[in-house]
Amino acid sequence: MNSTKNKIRQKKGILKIGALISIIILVSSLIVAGQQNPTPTHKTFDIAAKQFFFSPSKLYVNKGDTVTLRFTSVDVEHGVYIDGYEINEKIHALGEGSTEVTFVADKTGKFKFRCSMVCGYMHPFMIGEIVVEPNNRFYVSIALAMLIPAGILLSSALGRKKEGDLDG
Amino acid sequence: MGDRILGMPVDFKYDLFKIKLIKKVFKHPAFQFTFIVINAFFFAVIILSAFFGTPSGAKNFSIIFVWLIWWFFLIALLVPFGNRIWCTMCPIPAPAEWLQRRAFIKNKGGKPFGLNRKWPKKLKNIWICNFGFLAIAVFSAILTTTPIVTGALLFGLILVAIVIHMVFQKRQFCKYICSVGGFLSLYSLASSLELRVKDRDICRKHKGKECIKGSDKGWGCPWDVYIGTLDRNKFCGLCGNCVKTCPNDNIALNLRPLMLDLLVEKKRTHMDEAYKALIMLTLAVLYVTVMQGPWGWIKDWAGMNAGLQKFGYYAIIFLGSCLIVTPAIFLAFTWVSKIFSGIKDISLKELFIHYSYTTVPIGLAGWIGFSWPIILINGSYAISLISDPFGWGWDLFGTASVPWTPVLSGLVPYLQIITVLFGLAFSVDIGDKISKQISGDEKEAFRGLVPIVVFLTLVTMGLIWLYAG
Repeated sequence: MNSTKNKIRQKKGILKIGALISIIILVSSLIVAGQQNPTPTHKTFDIAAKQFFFSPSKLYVNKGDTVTLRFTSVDVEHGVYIDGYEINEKIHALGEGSTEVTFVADKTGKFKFRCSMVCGYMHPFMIGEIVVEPNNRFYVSIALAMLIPAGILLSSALGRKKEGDLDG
Repeated sequence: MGDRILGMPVDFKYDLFKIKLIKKVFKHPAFQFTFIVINAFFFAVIILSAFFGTPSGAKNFSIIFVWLIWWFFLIALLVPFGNRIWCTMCPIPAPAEWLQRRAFIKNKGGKPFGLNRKWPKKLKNIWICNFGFLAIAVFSAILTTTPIVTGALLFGLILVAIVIHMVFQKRQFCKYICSVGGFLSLYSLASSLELRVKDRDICRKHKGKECIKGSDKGWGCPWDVYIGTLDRNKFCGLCGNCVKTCPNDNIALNLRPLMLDLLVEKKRTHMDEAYKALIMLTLAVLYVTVMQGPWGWIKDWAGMNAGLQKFGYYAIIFLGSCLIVTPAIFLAFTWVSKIFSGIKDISLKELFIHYSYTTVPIGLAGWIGFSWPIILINGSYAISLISDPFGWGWDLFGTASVPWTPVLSGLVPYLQIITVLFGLAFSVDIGDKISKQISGDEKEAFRGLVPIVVFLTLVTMGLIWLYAG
């Protein structure tokens, strides 16, 4: 009887430890994410649009920043569409001037910006990225990628223990 | 097995033939022919638009309907939930099969047309499919954007299918040559649909074996599969011939838990399948990197914009990643697993093969993750192309001027992340079961599993970083 009670206590102990580790991982990731919240500023980026990529192609801003993207084509006519913000503008061909897009980065995460005017055969792959920090979506996803296997392994270990107790 | 796969009992089955309409459709003599003919119409438009339509990929029916619409439905819906249902209706081997049978629908008996040779035993594996898929994949940046290249590939496959059918029996092209068939043979193991006999004893006692030989009701299995002992989806093309010919009504079309066939232990012996799993996993990562990443130099190399030499470097990196790097990394993790577990009665090679099947769920999830932006961001091209498939300025249905319209673009990263997290969960759960199957000792199995779970988790994190980091 005492042995059974001890085993039950052990199982509960393992479950509590597992839950604690999970909470620590999740809270840590949110703390890390939350720490990056500086005062919003105005950021301007000069971006060249070329068949079939943007340069620079990966931009970092903070939540609340006013972002101006100044696109200049070095060849044909392009376009720019920003996922999530649903901004869509034409980028004039070389020699016909630049295109400015200004928006407030009020949503966090990584957002692709892509060419929205058919500019050649690899047009669908002409993609850049804007990361609006804190990129909570990414940090939480990574935490979940650790928690899910840990949870399944823990559940499996507990299941094994339970079978062992029943056999015993 | 009194076990569960992520909560779903492994012995759950629901026979869809209990729904009379589904059974009637499968038993109809013209079932497969009808679906093939419908598909063949679209296929004809695809081939014609590829060769005679506009060279601009985004305005050509072939590019949009093959690499966006068909691809998404295949990988995200048909494979996970429909097994090899695409093979049922695929138009590529159809002309060859009709020629071989000298008939479209009814089995009139008689010798098949052609040399009717048996497929060589040494080639009874999917290595040709593996290398064929890689050979095509390395040119993907050009293939998926250039109509004439797409048309040439599809037309070429039809010709190869005809040659193979004229030399060999039945559907050897579909089993051992077709590049799509190669990954379908692996990912169908994960599907929630299966065709199986209800009672194997009935088959054992039944001498007629019409499912193999054929009858006036249908053909003998064109996939050379005996459904009486079928235990994996690998080579079942869901053609329905066995359903038509079985005189004992002993065949069921079952809904079942996902990933079930990955647990058929005695069939996890093939290095070609192990390599397929790792190749597909690697490609899921590479495709996101090259086609959906921000790195312009990779796109230049992949698209031959930087010259043939740089394309050569790209091809070496691409193929080397699939054939050497990923298998080597996975071998290292398998070796650590062997050391950690202390397992002695199984070789490193056998362990490598067994554990490679744990990468099937995350690999499939990675491909679905890659496909979400394809359909949501660019799927709207299909609307205008229905009215102007050749890019000639037609407007058949009044939709030619519908502009490119991304749908739910902000949702794409969430869909990708959720998909791969599910894939990871399935991979770990399947890994848990595989480790218990191969190790007699529970603690040994657990210790052996941990390094594999680390590998699966790192791959998932890599995919998440590509999608959202």
